[in-house]
Amino acid sequence: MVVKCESRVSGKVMVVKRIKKMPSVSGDASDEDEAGADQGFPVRYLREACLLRACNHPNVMKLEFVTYHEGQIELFSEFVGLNVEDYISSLSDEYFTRNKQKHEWVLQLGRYFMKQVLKGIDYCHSIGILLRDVKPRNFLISSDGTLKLTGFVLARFSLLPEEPLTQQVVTLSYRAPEIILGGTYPVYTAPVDIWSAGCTFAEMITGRTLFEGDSEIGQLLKIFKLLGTPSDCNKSFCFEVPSYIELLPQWQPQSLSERLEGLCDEGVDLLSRMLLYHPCSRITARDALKHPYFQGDHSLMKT
Amino acid sequence: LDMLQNDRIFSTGKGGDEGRTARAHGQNSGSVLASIRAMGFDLIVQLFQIYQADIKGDTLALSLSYFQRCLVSDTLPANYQKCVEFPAACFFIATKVEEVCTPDISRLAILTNTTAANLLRMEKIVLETLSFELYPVTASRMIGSLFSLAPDTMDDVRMFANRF
Repeated sequence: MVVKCESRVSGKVMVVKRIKKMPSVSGDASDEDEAGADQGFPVRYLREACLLRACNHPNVMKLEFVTYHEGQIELFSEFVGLNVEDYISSLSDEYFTRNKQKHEWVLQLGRYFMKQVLKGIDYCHSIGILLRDVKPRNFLISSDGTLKLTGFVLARFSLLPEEPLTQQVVTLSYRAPEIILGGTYPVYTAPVDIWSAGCTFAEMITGRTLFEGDSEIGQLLKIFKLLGTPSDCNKSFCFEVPSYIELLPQWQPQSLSERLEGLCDEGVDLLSRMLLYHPCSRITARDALKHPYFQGDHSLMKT
Repeated sequence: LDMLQNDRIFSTGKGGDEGRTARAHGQNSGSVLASIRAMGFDLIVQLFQIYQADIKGDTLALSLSYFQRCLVSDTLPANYQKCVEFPAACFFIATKVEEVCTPDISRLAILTNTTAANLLRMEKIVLETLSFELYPVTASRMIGSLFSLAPDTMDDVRMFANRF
């Protein structure tokens, strides 16, 4: 349960995420808790709380404090506002139609937001946090137009050397191909967040989810249909890929600029670098911020 | 093996506790702290050895760090410093933060000769004392930071930096 509240002491408006700990095995807590026994502070919220506490950046949501009483956990964080997904869906179709003035504004807004998205991701990567759930829903827009990153439930600190991690991360539509193809315990790291950020970018521009698959295979097909079936799989992914990949239709890569109408060439170039199959050749958040797309003054024009 | 470890923990955690701290009380407070720290570290290392097979990450470093930080903080009541649940709770939190599978609390309670309820109470106290700041810099994270500082002209370093 999430409620908005105001501190009587400081007058600060905060958001409280209240979690009731399940005494018995039920709902989503069951995967962490052993049969019936009370295992103390739930692992997922413990991780979320301490990762948020470890962050201190204007583009990451600030966790003020945590209380833990009688099996009830309350996470107090700063109040930000609407998330990007809701914001996009609140805009009318006119905003996403070509050659309209409003569309021009959306393109500017996309650039403005994307810069902040990448700043937030770059900060998290620089302190070693793997986000694993980058999507428009996890970016909140504050009243002054600052974007705040949230949704740390699936995040974790990176391991050195790389360890196989769980596959069940990142909302399917934003999941990078190396996670889908990597088997039960794929080895992946920072580039998965960049892939998700690329999908987020496209969604901000077009107002539609870029790859909307209904299953893991469906998701792969959607990706291959747009970006082309990788010709030499093991070369493209740097790991073993399942053999069924050979049986898929051989699609040719489509033009991203056609899909993302109106986006300037630099933007298309940035997006294509973010959506590369090979995780090591995918652009990093820091390099992406240096991309020509973000050069120059791009302050937001009011309409 | 478990029974053996159990005995050892029992003797250091409980039996040794009174003897050593009684001696330490006669001296200045610094050495009291030192002896508590020595016992706590001892217990954590023993727990680490028992669960070694399941542990991959920085758990040992993290739990020792939590223990030390709680010990020197003003908010932790002095009577909690000496109880056996305190280092055990530090270890328990560290595994939760870092590991894929966390130890079962009832087994941990048996190993440290206490009850699960006591451990949970202690866990809460430790978490509040640390105010949920559970990610100190450890050696392996430091290595990652050092690599990101290295000049990115070399291809292999860049590849490493890509993966942190």
